[in-house]
Amino acid sequence: MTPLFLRDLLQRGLALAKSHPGRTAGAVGIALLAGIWLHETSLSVRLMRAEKTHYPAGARACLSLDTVTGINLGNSGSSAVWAPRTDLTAPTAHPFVFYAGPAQNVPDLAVDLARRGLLRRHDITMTIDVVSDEIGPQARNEGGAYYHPDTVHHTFRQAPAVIYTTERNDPRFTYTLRFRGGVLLGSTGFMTRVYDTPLPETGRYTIPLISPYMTSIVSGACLTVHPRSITSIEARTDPLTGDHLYAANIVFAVDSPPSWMDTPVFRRSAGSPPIFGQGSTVERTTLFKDDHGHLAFKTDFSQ
Amino acid sequence: MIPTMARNAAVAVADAIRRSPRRAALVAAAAFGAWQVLAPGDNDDRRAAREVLATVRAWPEGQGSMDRDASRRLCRRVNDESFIDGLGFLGNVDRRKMALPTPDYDANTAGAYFGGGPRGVAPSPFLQALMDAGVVRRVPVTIVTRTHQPTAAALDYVPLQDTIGGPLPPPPTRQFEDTESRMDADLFIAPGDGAAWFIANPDLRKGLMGIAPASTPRIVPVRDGTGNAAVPPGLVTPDGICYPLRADRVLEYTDAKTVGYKLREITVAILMKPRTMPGWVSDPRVFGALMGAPVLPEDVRVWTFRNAGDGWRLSGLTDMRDMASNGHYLGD
Repeated sequence: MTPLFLRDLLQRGLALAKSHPGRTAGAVGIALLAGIWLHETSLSVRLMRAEKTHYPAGARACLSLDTVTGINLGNSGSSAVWAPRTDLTAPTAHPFVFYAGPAQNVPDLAVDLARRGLLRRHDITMTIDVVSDEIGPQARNEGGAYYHPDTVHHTFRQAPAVIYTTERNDPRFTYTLRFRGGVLLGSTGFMTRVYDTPLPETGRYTIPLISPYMTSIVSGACLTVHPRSITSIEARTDPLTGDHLYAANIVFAVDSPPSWMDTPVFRRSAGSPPIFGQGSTVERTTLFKDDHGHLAFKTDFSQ
Repeated sequence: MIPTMARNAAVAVADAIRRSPRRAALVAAAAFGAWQVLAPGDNDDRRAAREVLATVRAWPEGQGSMDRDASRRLCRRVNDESFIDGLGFLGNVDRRKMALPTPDYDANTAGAYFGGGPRGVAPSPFLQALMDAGVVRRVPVTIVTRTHQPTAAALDYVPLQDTIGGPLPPPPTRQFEDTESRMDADLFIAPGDGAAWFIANPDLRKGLMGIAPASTPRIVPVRDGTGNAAVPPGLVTPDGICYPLRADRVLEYTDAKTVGYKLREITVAILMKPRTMPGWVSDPRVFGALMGAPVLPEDVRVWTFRNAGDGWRLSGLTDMRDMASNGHYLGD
């Protein structure tokens, strides 16, 4: 019965369209516009738009490079180690460092990325203050007490070191920020001398050292991802502020890895996760805030 | 000559406008557009960073501490061993010590007082460095100790009720005697301009979390015209050094982002430099005596500022997250 009824309806509609072509075109147009309007104002499309507005250049999925990157110019034991003052190491600098360490021991990945033009290599000479303490024969002071006079010798040794930097704010990497404290001068990696005063060869003294006010150290390598679809939307209320929120699961399509990630040395040192495969996707829960009908990106649980 | 040229040019321009007003308008619009496009970009964030720099430049430099408040002054404590406390306890009511006034040390002496000791006392390494730099002077004085005590006769006088032996013995005529002893001493004083870095700052003694405050020596009083002892009012015992800094320039700033209704936030790294950098601050004997960091020739501070509509103010917390990947670095 139903197919017959539908066929009848279709025939009658066609007949109507034949007799009034202009009106039919108008009705179809209005129906199309209504459909587009309904589609554009649907929640998932609006959420997708808010997501794209928040990441105009595309969201990122990042792999940890923590095992490769870092600064390995540390002070060992009692000796002070410092670098010459350059644009990278001055207290007014904010270097973006991939790796820094002794020149004899450089990670393969840093060498490879420098060859591909992602990193820049800087060669510097570190100075190491080697302190040796010599205890002399027993002696007496003016009061008659026994003591051992000791003499402190400083030997300044030079050691070659290498720094690999990225471009400032390079979006292909994520960074961890290290910054210097106010009262206590913590280290952000590179130390230089505060004063240029000459250092005597004997005597017990401390050499004031200072590091750049901030150092950004690469912590991950990133792939661009593009939002494709929304699988679930859940309305929530913020328990603290009472804001209306939407928690949406967004599926992103992952770009194929760029050539510098698609290398044996990268796979060997940073790993080769499944998202490198062709057509892979990642899913993220993203929170949107409903601000009187205006949807705004709030946070996503990634990186 | 130049006024004539200017007048001629003005006449020519007016002529051109009168002849073809539309073309003149077009040329003006094109020039304006070109200026808009080619003028150096002075975007909103950069302007906010510049306003923040102006705010920091307007901070007071005579009070507060840059580590805590909106202030351009920085203070560091000096450790206890920097002072010389070799003159014993002063201020006992029965043993009054005072220095005889000399041209170098009288009621008008102004400056910073670092203690003193018997003539020829050795200064601490910190003071020796300041003396080598000519900031602190060794001031020789004669200290008079006036002791007010019972006479020997008064101590012997025991008025017992012994009527068999006769009447009471007569009391001694002088119950008390004042004796005066003199001692040659040296005081360590930073007079005049050199004392600007060393001021009494009770703030440095506050909030030390159980650390004993520096035991500063008491100032030797001077005998004034009436023979009484008075501490020179212009002399202070420093708790540490305090020095003003100037805001040199902005090194880095983040985007000025909106964090609420009409509320903006920006994080700025500003290079602060001491107003003066005397040679003695880089002496190891001096920075070895300072608690905390030495005096830095280039002190970079990162602060978060908020603007609620009435100018940029220091936010309580510093949010550096954006500096890691979105900072605008100007550098040198």
